[in-house]
Amino acid sequence: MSESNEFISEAQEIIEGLSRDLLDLERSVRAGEDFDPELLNAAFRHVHTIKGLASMASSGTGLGELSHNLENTLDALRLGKLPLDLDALDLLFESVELFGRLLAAEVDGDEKVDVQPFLARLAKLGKSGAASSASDELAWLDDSILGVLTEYEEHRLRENVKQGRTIFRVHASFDLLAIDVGLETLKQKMKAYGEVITYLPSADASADDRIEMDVLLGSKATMAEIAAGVADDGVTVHEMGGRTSKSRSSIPPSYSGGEPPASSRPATPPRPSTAPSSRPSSAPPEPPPPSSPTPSVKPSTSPASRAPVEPEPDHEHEADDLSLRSLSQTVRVDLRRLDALMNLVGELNIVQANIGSILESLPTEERRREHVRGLQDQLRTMRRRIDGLQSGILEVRMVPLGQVFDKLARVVRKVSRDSQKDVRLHITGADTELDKLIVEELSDALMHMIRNAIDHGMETPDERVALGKQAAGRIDLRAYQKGNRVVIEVEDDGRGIDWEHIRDVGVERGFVTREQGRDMTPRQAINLIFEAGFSTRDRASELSGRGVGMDVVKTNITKLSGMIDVASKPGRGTRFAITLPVTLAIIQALVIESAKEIFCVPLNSVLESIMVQPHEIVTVEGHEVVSLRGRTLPLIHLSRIFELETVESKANANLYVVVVGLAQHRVGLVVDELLGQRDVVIKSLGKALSAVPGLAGATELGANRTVLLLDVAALVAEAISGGSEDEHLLRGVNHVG
Amino acid sequence: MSDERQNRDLWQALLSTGHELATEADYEHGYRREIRSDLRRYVTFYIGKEVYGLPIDAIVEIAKPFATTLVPRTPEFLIGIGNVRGLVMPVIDLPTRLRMGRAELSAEARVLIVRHDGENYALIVDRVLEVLPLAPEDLEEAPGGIGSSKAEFIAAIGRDKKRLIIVLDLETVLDIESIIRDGLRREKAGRLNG
Repeated sequence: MSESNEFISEAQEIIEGLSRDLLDLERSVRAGEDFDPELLNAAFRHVHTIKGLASMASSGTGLGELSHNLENTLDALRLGKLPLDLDALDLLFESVELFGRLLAAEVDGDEKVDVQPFLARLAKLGKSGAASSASDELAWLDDSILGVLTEYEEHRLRENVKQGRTIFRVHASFDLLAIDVGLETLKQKMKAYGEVITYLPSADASADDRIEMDVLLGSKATMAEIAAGVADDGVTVHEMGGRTSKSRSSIPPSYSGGEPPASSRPATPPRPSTAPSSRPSSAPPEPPPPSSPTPSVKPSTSPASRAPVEPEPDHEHEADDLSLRSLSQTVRVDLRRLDALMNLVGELNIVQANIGSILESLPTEERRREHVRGLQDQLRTMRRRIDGLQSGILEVRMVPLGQVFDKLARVVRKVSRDSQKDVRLHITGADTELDKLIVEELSDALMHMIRNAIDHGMETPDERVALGKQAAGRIDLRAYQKGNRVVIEVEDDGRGIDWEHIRDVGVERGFVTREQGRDMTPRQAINLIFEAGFSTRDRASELSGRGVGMDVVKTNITKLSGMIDVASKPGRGTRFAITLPVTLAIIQALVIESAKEIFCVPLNSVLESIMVQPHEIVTVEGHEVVSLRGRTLPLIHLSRIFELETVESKANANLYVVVVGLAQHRVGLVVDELLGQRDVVIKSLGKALSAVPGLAGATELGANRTVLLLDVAALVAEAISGGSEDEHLLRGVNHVG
Repeated sequence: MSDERQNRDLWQALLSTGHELATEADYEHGYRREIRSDLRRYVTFYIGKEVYGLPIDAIVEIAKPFATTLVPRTPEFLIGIGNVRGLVMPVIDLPTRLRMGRAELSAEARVLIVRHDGENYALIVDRVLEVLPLAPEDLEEAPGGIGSSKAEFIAAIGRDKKRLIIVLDLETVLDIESIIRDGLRREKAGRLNG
């Protein structure tokens, strides 16, 4: 019964909404004004929702039947097949009352409400209301436009013309990256003048990173007024037609923006009357010929003949369902809501873990063993369900990288054209998915890298030919999943990074001392490009900015707890590899113990865990290092940098070293124990503790145990910039308070 | 006899809430004493032998001491972080913070969970006393002449009967961030000089 109650309350709410919309509509109709089409749309949606609810609640009453028929009527009203007059409104109001009685009957469960008489009257309304004949108001309209309008849009267009409004085509061009904002602003501005009928993307792309849109606006204002009101960069207003019969066809359409008329729409209409040659300044806005023969009006707009016969209703329903389904295919969700859900799942994980540990600590008496086993089975099932829930929510956040790659393809085209280099972009793995948040943050970084690759990396075609390479350069953009991470590679076949040059510039500009420069390995030298403000150019290149490129890239990637690696062969090219976690909301953590304290290390910055024998550790200028596959790995002891009271260190015992990486750096964290991996929800430490270096947050690890999450980025930075690893970085702190 | 006693108790009760009994004048001219709206209520508590107070609207709840996790690189008064119903917050040993030695953590010790600047903090105190309304005239703002080391933490001194209530300034008490940053800066400077 509780389900049913929920349904009742929800349905009541919706019916109230419907009633409000009808009241507003009635006010307009009574006043003889043009009603807001949005209200009718809202009423239609409300009834549709009730229909959905009724079908789910599978009530035996007439709710479903009523809402279904009412929906059809409202759809007809919405599309102008039926006139919205006071009679129709009376009937609609009666339906509200009828809904109320049906719901009451649902609650009581006995009284039967007969909806048939009402339905009969509703059907009569449908028959009586012969809709306005499908006339030729739109004859002036270009077929290519008419063809792409939906039935509803077409109706609104007609309606606007009938109301004596002029139809304007507002042509606007938006920056690809800011189109949502731009479009919304424009829409708001236009709403002040009339009704925005539809948006048509335009194919005449003049630039790679811009999108051209045509917006159809019905308005009573003059073109000058609108042009002044919506004036903005790249916005032009064109008069298209409308203003029935005695329209001021004498006024020639003109253009405000100074831009030449966006030459006729892609598909030039076959109709000779609009042939551009006849009127050079106007392609579409042929004044409406008052009595032209009905040309190509879509059959659906002439229901007048069909309505009274009521033929094959089933067909109509099918069509309705189809169009409505497409409306509700996707849902836009605020990322924060997903975060909240994610948090809940995390908490659920903890509860599950807690139950498990309680179960384990239960005394195992012989006869209870069976129950315990049953409970354990259930717990395992629960575990699987929670995992499913978690990955389900994660999947919702996932978007394919292709979105960003497409943008980058345009960047490549533009930058290579500007720099007169011939560059081909090869994309693989565009369907690799990443957390929406990460993809957003990543696009700037990738753009910088691509620009750098073309601007600094690529030779000119002549140089390339001289070097025996193909004239066209090649940039590979690859994405692939590797375990729990996604790797994105940007590889060019250009001149590569001249590490000696980088080193010399680094010394010259004071990024490293002369001595440091002398001892630099190629890898260290190349890593200088990630330093803030580093640039080898004498003057800032217009394309790649002022040496802010690579350090921005590094900062962005570090923020996403990603890593960046660079490898370069002189003359052969450069490869950047970005490794990113798949998501940030719930992270996998490695649980470690140091001096009896437990910490979590984000697994996405852990490269591997190794065991080191004490004799393998050597000291270089007071820094402990081990050599790992030919690479020197600096060690830091967690207990020392955190000043934890160490327990008797077992001499000669093996040491656990967690190798962590950040951007291009690698550091080994020496810990006492590795306690395994866990999925954890990160919680903020709050403002007060945000200043503590080396800590990224806290998390709960079963049994109400709060554990700190290490900030690998800060620890690595400390190890690299700071002195020896056992230096007590914060010696003074404890005596301040 | 018992009536008189009751009266006295009532008198006391009214005194302690800052109200006064109606006077003859009140009866003559009608009961015109409006309920005072400028009284602020304070939660009072002991630290050592002194009575401290915090405005009640700053306090989210009063809890018994709970398990905390040590946070390295923080001042001594910061015992660690604790988790109260899913919210992680710093736990501060208030006596240590006020430079009065560590909290004893007896059976009477309590944790005041306060909200300041949108975030929660837990303050450990020796014993919670009562909720007390204080009128502005009973409060001495920024009292001079207290040369003690904890003057910076004192927002005002309240007088309730003959007892002094030290009203704390949460802004300074909870200013942990700057202490941590100061410590870091000092450390860095020390390292450069050394």
